[in-house]
Amino acid sequence: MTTRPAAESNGVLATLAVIHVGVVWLYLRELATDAAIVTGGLAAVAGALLARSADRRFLRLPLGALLGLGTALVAIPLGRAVLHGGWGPSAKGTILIGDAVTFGLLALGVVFGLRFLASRVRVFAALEALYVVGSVSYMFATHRNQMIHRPRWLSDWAWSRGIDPQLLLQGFGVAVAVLAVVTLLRRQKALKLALSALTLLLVGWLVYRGAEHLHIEPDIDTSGLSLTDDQNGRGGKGDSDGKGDKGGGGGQGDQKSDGTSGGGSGSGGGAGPQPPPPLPVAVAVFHEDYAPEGGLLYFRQQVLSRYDGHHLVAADAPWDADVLTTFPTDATLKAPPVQAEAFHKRMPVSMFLLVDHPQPVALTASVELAPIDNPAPRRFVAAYSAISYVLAQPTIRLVGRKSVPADWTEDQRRHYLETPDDPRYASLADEILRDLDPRFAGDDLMKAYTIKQWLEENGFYTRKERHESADDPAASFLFGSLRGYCVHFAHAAVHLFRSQGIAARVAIGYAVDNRMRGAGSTVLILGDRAHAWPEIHLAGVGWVPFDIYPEQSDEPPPRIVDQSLESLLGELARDDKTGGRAEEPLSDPFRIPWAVVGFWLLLGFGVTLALAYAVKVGRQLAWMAGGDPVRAYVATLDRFSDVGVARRPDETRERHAARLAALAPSMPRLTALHLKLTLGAPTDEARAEALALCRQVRRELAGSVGAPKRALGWLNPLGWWFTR
Amino acid sequence: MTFSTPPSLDKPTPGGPVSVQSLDDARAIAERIRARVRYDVMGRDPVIELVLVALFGDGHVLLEDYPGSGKTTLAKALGNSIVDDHQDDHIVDFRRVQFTPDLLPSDITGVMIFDTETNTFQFRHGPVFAHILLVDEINRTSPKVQAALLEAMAEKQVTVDNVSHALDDLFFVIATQNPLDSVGTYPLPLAQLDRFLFKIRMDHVDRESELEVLASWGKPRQRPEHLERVTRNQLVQARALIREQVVVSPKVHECLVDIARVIRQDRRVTQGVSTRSLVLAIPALQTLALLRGRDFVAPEDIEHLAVPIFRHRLAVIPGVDDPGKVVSEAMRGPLDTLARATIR
Repeated sequence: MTTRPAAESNGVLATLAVIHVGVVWLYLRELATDAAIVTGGLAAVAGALLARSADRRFLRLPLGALLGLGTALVAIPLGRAVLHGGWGPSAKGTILIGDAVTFGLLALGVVFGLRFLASRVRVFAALEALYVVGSVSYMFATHRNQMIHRPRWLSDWAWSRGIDPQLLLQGFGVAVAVLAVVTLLRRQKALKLALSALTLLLVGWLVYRGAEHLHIEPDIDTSGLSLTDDQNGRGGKGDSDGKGDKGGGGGQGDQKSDGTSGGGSGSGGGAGPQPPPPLPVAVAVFHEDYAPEGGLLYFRQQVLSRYDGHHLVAADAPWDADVLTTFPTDATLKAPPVQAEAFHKRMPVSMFLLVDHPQPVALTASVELAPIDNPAPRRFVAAYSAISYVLAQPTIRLVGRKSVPADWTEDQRRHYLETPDDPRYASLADEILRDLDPRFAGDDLMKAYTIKQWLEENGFYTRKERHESADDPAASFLFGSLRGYCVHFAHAAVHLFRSQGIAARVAIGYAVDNRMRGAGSTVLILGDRAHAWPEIHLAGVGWVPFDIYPEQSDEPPPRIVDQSLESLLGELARDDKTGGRAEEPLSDPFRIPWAVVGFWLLLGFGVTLALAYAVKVGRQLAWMAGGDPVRAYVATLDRFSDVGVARRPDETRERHAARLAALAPSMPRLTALHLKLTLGAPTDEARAEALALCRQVRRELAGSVGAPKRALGWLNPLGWWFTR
Repeated sequence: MTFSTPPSLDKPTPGGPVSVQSLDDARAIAERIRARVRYDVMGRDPVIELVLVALFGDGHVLLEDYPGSGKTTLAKALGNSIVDDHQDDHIVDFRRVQFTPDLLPSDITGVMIFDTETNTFQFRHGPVFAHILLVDEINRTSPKVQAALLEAMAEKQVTVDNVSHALDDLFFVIATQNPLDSVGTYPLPLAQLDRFLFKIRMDHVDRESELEVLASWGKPRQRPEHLERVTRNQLVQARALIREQVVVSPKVHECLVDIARVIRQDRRVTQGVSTRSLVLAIPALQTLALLRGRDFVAPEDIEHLAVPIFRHRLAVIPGVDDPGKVVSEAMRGPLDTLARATIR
């Protein structure tokens, strides 16, 4: 026996027809021509009307379902036939007619089938609801991640108030879905309705998540937030390779092509009349306050320490093991303890790269890298957290230390002190150090300061002289015009230091002026902040950045970072729940962690399901174990509830039993006995008879309910819930 | 105990001293009366059942119906079904009183008359001294007479000249009133309506029954002598037996009290049902259970009787047409609770 819902009133039918027209529009919006959408809408109305008419004429259930399915299936071949047959008056007409036939028949078949099933058997209302909710989920799935900002009046209004329009649209979608579910399932009891709505919303959410893989939205990377290859060449990083033979070209594989294009053409950065704005390459999120000495934040990517006879290049292992050059993937990477903990402060920083880098970029000197969840995979190519050791005191306070520690091996000593086979370096250094106060004559740090000071006073910072053609660009710079840029200064300084027995190397990365960034913990690193600087080693301390700041320069002052961009990217980056080593307040109170919510929802759903089955089985077992006629009666009622014929709240037991007599003729008798046992004077015969009748009723039920419905009843986890 | 078919009593003499031993016997008595009344009154089975419930439940009924709908026939058939096996008292089987505005209390209770032969005052018994009393148009007489009758109904005695005269245990009043023609009437106040177990609204009989009535009219109708009558003693014994033996579960009590409380809390109700009505309801429910072949009170009994028992005791705010609807809405929750209580 199927539970046949009451026929729809005209008002309800009209509402349902409107809903179906809307659903057709939602599904076809992206797929079909306007003519097809209109035809589809009309067909949906016709389908709803036909379904009612079929229902009233008692069309057989399988026949009706077949009719709907058949119409829907025949739609596509028929539409193709129209297209290929060229039956229309013109080419355009043919397309329009073919489209209209396809989608009109499709809508007709689907709506007729769903409506007919739903109005005949209550269970199928869920199918119809699913179809409706699916349309809404399908539409709003494309609004994820601000992909579609339409309607603009709404999204603009929301943005101007600091609300994510995605949330508004999702809220709207959920409201529509709930409304649709409530309308479609309105005949259910409140609890059942709530459960159904919840389940359907869950399904809708899964569809929404699932649609991620079918995504049709454009990729954000093309929107200009990041670098494309030829733009990259204008970025500052090109400079390190610009010299071609001297810079750290060997290390930066992906920038090789840029280097040749930038260097080969000979057109330096800033040569054009209107240089394009520098492009952001990375975002750093500080978890603690930090104001660097000298005002510059050094983000190191790589170091060059090996002298290969011509220039400094990146050294292979085991050299420079303290510089982490691989990205953390699943475990935390730790550098060997070269940096002495006593002189440094631990600084946790989260890094989010907008552009591919061959090595991780991190605040110098990073000693630990750990993977974190990428909060916006479409925007950030990599995300990781770093622990960086920054000097806890000004560098000048370290005076009195030797550079090369006594425990260095001869190999180490040679590696970090190797200079070009050019006596001019040593003699220039000697000349510079001639004026050094004799008290400090043996002090490596003071010697380095003196050399640094000399370079700052005499060097001229310009990008116009690139010393490309020189065999040794550092020599060309140092012993020539003394005009050059950071790479030249760094290399020259390192060679001078090394000639004086100070272990030194060149670090490559980005230097960001701390004063140029906006308020907040986010630092946006732009491509034009690429930099090379010397690092010197101090025994017992570790490697210390030792940058040269030329006093003369023809560079325009650095651009102030676009603060809105910085904060926008910062917002995105700070979405890392797991990466922050320090507690971060949720920056966006509206942001809902969908993945977490979904997980817990699913978990809750699963646990509820398991509990429901446990209770179901338990109630059946209680009867078999105890032989208590009341338990047996309850278990019997559960069987009926499973197939959807539970007692209604306004029914007495007797009326319910009379209704069930159609399924199990012994039910009224069993119910009378049950009432006698519970409300009257129980007797042993009555108990025995009731138990026997319970078995009898279950046999009768099995005989009168079809196997598929019985199987569904067995699967129904919540049947017992409706036993009352 | 349940019954599949109504058992037949093969006790020989209707007037003889047959004692009622079991619920089966009690039910047989009731079924005999039912059969006789049904023979005379066609198409009124629900009303007959309610009247039987009132008779065995020791209540009284108020029939509200249009003239000529068979009220008197019903009452007379009931009276005819009972044989008085106490011939020596002043109590007769059946009396009918037509209430008019000029009626006096003594017209129904009886009056002291001076007997010149014995030089003493003798009490002349009024029509209330009957087993079955049919009071026609109860709302047409003055409240004084109504009050006298109501005393008799409640106390089963009448007081004349400060002397109380007991009525028979089996004192059963069927009162009638016309629901429409209310000009010049004295409507019964709620307090007096409260004494009636049921106020039964009789609708017109269905087509077949009406045709049957027309077909049988005028023809000499055989008295239902083949249907046995019951004695007054049997009826009284059956009453007592029903009281004693039909089980009323505490859950049923709870359900009744809950229904009463829900009714009293209803915003549409200005005066709720009395505790007396709940007390009166118990024997009525027991009787119905018996008539339905059960030895315990089931939810369906409550469902069946709640409206006729409680409907006429309510005062509702203006605008509410049918207090019966209030009752049927009020009993839904407690009945559901009762049904749930049986599977706990």
